[in-house]
Amino acid sequence: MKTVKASIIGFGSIGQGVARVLLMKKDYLEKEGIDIKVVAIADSKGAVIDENGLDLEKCLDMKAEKGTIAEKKMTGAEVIEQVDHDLVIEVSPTDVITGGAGLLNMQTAFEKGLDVVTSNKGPLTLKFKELNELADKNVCDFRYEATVGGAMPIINLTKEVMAGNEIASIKGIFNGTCNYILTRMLEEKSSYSEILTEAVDLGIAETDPTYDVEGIDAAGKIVILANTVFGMNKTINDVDRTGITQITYEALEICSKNGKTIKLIGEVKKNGSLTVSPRLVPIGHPLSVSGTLNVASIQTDLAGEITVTGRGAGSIETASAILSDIISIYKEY
Amino acid sequence: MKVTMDIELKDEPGQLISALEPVSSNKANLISVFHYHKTGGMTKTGGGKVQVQLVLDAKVPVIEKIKEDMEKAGIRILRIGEEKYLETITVVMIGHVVNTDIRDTISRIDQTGIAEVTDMSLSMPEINKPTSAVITINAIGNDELKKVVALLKEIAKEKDLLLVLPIEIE
Repeated sequence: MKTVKASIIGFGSIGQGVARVLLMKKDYLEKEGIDIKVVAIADSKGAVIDENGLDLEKCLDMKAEKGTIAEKKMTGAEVIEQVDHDLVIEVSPTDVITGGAGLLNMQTAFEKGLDVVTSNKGPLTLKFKELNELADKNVCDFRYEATVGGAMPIINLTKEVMAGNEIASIKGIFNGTCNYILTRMLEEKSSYSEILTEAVDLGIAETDPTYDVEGIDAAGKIVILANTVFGMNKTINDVDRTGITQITYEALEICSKNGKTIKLIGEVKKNGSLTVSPRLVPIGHPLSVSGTLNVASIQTDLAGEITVTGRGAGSIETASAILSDIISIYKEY
Repeated sequence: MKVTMDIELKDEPGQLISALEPVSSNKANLISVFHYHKTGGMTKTGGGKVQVQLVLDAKVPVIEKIKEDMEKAGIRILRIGEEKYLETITVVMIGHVVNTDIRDTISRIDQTGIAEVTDMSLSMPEINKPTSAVITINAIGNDELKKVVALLKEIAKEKDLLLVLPIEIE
C-alpha cells in the first residue's frame, strides 16, 4: 500500500466534492494500492492541519456548520510550504486574468517537489509552459484533466489513449452554463435575460455570469487544449472570442425551423487558430447536445472523428476527474 | 466539374435543340438551361441572335469535345469555363439586419461574382429589437466560399451584426 499525503487547497464546492469522493472511493483506492491521507485543507479564511490525517467527514460537517474549516490563519501557499506532504490538490477559485492564488500555490508546490492535481484553469491559461517546465525541473507530476470539461475525459484521452494519432482539430461545447441557456431559451420561448435569471436561481450561472456568457471560461479550456494536445504556447489573449449575449430567441427559433441550432463552440486547430463563438449546428449532429452537457469532437488521422460527452460541471463530476488523475499518478502498474 | 457555357443562337425555332445535341451525344450532364429569349430582349446579342447559358457537369475532355462539336455546327461560344455554384453555406446574422441596409448586404455578396444569396428568411420581433436573418449563399467553390466568409465577417463587423457561421466551416 502506497500512502500519499495530500493537501486540498480550496474548500469550496469542488474541494468538498474531492473530500466526498475520497470518502466514497476509499475502499476502491485501497484495492488499487493507494491510501490517500489528507493532512491539510485550506480555504479562504485559513487552514486545518493534522499530519496523521484529517477526518474528512468532520471537516465537511465543520464547513457546513461554520462556513470554514479554518483553525489556523494560513494561506494555501503557506500550507504547501510548511506541511510535510506529497500531493497538492489545487482547487482554489479560478482567475484567468491574474492566475489568482492558484498560480502561487502551484509554483510553491513544484519548487518544493510536490505533485499537483488541479481543476483550476486560471494558472494554466496564463503560465502553462512555465508551470510545466517547473514541474519537469523538480520531477513533479502535474495533472489537470478536471480543468477542461469536468467529467468529460479529453486531456488524458488525447494524450494517452489516442497516442500515435495526429490530431487536426478539437471542437466542442466547453461551457455547460451557455449550453443550458441556449437550450432553455428555445424550449421556453424566452429571452436570453429571462433564462439567465433562471440559471442564476438554479445555481447553474454565477450572479456575475460574464465569465461564462462572454466565452472566457470556454476560451481558457481551449487554451489548455492547445497547449496540452498541440504543444502550443498560447494564452487566453490568443483566442478569437465571441459570447452568447447577442443570441435571441427569434434567432434560435428561425434556425430550428431550418433544422439547426446555435451552440457556443470552442475550437482549436493545429494551424494555431483558437476560437470561441456561437455556431450553427445541425440538429442531430454529435455536437448538438442539450442542457449543461459538454461535448468534444476530436479529428484524427487514424481513428477518424471521435466524440466524447459528459457533465462539464458539478462538484462530484469534477472531483471524479481529479480522482482519475490521482490514481494515474500513484497506481503501481 | 461544373461549367457554364454562354452560347449565341439564331432567334429561330429549333435552334436550342440543335445546340444541345453535342451535349447529349457526348453524354454530359446538362444541369440547367437559361434561355434569355423572353426576358424583354435585353440579352439579345443583336442581328436576330439570342444568348443562352448552359450549366454542365462533365470532365474537362468531354467539355472540350462539346465545344469542338458546337463550333463545327456553327454555334458561337461566347464564354466558357466559369464554374457554377458547388458550395452552399447557411449563416445567421443577428442585430439590426434590416436597418443596416439588407439590400446592400445582399448585393455586396452577389457582386463578388463568385457567390450569390439564394435564400433568406427573417424574424423581426419588434421595432428596435434585433432581427435574425438566416441567409443561404451559393459559391462556386471552396476557396471562393472562404472569401465569402471573410466578406461576411467584414460586413458583420462594419454593421455591428453578430455572424453565426456553420460548424462545418473550415
